[in-house]
Amino acid sequence: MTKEDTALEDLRVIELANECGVYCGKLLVGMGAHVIKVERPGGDATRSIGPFFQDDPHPEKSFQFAYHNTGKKSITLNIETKGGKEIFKKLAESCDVLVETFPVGYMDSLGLGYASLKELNPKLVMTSITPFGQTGPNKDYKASSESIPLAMGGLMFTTGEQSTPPVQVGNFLIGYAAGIYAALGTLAAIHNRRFTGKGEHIDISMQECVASWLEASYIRYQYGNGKITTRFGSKLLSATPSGLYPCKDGYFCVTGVGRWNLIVAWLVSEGIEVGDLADPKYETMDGILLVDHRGRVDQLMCELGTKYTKLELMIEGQKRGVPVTIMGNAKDVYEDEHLKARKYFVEVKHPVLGKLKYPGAPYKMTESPWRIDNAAPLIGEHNEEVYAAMGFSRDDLVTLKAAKAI
Amino acid sequence: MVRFPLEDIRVIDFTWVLAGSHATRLLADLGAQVIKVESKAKLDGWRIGYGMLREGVTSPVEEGSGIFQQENRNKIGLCLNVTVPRGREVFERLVKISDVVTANLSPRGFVKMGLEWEKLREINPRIIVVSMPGLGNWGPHSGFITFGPNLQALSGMTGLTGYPGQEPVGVGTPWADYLAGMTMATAILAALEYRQKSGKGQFIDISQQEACTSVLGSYLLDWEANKKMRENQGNHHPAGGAAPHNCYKCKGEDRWCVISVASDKEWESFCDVLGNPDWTKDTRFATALSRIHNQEELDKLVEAWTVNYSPEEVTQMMQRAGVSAGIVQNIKDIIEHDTHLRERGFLVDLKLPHPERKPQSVILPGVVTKFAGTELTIRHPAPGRLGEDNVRLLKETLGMTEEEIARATADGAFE
Repeated sequence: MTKEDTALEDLRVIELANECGVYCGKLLVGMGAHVIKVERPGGDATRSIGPFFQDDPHPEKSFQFAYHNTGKKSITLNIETKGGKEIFKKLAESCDVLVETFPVGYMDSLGLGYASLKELNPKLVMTSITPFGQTGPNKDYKASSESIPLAMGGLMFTTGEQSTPPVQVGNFLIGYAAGIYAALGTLAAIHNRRFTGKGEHIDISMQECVASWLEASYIRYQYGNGKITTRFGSKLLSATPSGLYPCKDGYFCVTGVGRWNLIVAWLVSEGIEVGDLADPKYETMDGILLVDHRGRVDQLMCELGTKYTKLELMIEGQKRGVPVTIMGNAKDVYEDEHLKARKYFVEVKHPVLGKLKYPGAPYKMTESPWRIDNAAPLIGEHNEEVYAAMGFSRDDLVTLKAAKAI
Repeated sequence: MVRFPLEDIRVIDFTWVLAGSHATRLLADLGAQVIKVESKAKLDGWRIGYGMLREGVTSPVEEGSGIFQQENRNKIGLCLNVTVPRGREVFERLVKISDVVTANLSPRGFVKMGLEWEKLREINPRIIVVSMPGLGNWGPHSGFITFGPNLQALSGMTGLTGYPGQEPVGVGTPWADYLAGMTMATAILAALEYRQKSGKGQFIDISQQEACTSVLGSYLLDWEANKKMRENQGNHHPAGGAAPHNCYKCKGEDRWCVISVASDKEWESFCDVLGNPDWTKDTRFATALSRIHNQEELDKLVEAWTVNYSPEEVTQMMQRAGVSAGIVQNIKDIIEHDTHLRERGFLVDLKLPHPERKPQSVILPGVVTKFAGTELTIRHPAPGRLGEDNVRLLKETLGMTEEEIARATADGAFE
């Protein structure tokens, strides 16, 4: 494959993003964009986020950094110094996209806000990701953790059991949501630019990313006389069996929407006593009669679980047309036969971390493939290359380094 | 005149239920002309979605459920059976003048509908075809039937959510559907960029499983390299970056707040808000590291304070002092009390057609990809009635004559 085959080969991106924006750049670089990651001298703050290779909290050993920055180039730059600001402006002048995650007003305070950069480069698409967005009364709310916009967006309240406190969602999910929305908005603005000749400022609020994922709650509240959706464990309010059930070696997940007849047949073939629940009247698409017997249905599924492993249940269930999957962990994911057959994992060689299999493309395109051929950069690995291309000599770099600009 | 970013793009949309419909809804929100295709034989299951029909609606073919309405806003509706010859003819005419064909049917259903790129590219070499079954279009498990919660469990995220040592609790929304939909919309825009320079369309194969697994990269690498399996962290900071970091009980029934203290400076401000009680000077809480080591005890002391206040009060006091905190909002808080979301124009009060049906309007989440220069919002409600826009599409968009329409109708093309 030649480089010209990628979808975004012509797109030049500057990224100053923490864990809440870094997936945007990863999606763009995966589709072929040139992404330059601007790190503060000494290395980006996300390099201190674990897990770490061999549990060693070294800035070149963070998996958080290694995974999300594959294919990007790294330069160090202190945009708070005078020299650094000038360099940054030059970068902004010649790029298509700037992705940033600073607190609202920070870039403005340096004279590098969208209004100033637009003067330098009217075609610039600037994408800002913040916990609460660029406008509105809470725009300056502090949120050093993703749990704050998660809670304010409404997803924490509905996660957990009714008898226990609300609980956060694992693994920075909202940062990923923000990253994908950011990539979507950015590409739409790039498309639009072709017609208008003008750039755009895109304002992604993490709270809104969350609040747009709760549509059933909005409708239930407004169509259902003020009914507030609360926590319901892993179960679906509208269907049984649903959610997680224990089995021999962990948990399996069932979504029994409209398939009660198939489930009954399965249970009966296992010698599990279904009783009057085998009555065809329970086989409606909406499962409306069955949910009244949720407790008994759950018991039947638990009984099924005692006989098999999660993988056996998935294979047998799917064979019978019942939507069953395993509740997987990292080991299960790496051993997943289907992912292996689809060549989902890609080996990437990193100078410090060595060769590892990374999760690969989130989608497969026949003509413009996903790219994950380069490991995440070392701190400032591309200083010389990028700054030379901008016209700085080696002597200039020494001077800039002395002035703490790079 | 305002230009909507994707207004030149036409999508023939065979998606249904949530994941796929969400993808094309995002494109429609950005201005694309999305033609939602259904037929009597292939109705979108979400017309019934949770049974949440408006009062006065007697059949889901007359108007879909609230969820259907939400996921299909800004789209237009075509009732077309592409499996009968004259229906296929109409579809092919539409392919000629369209940019994208989308589906999240099973791999078998996709072929049965005749949507393969190999066929459609013969009609329009610039066409982009996307198919997003749960587990992708090929591979040993590609025929598996999955819903959002199945994929969430399969990807590994479900196992990371809940309280340590207790049963997993799942996540309180089918996030996998949304995430897969967003991923699909992004892939389509990339394919449009590729077409711009190459002149070529292409086929995009999306496995929702892969889209979801891709958001667990660092957790997976921890296993791959260190053979370490992270357990769920409850409400503590997932990377050990802050303490206190939890959800705390507040005054009132089922009222909660979150607080996160990441630095020594924030800890000082936090203690000030509490009035510096003696326990805050305890050596167990003297450094960021010791606070993390002793966070279970710390959490109890913090909660003994928060229970005296409403989540709104805690949030106000903490935010004023520069400490990260928030209300664990429920849907009522969001719809009725969140002035921030409202002022940003995120919440949209959408007037629905047929004022005799109740409610007459509905407040919905708006467009997340907010453009400073172009107001993106809900321009019109979903095509509620099956085939609502048939006449307009067939006559204006395709230029079909009355006679052609009558012939196709007789052939059952619009059933």
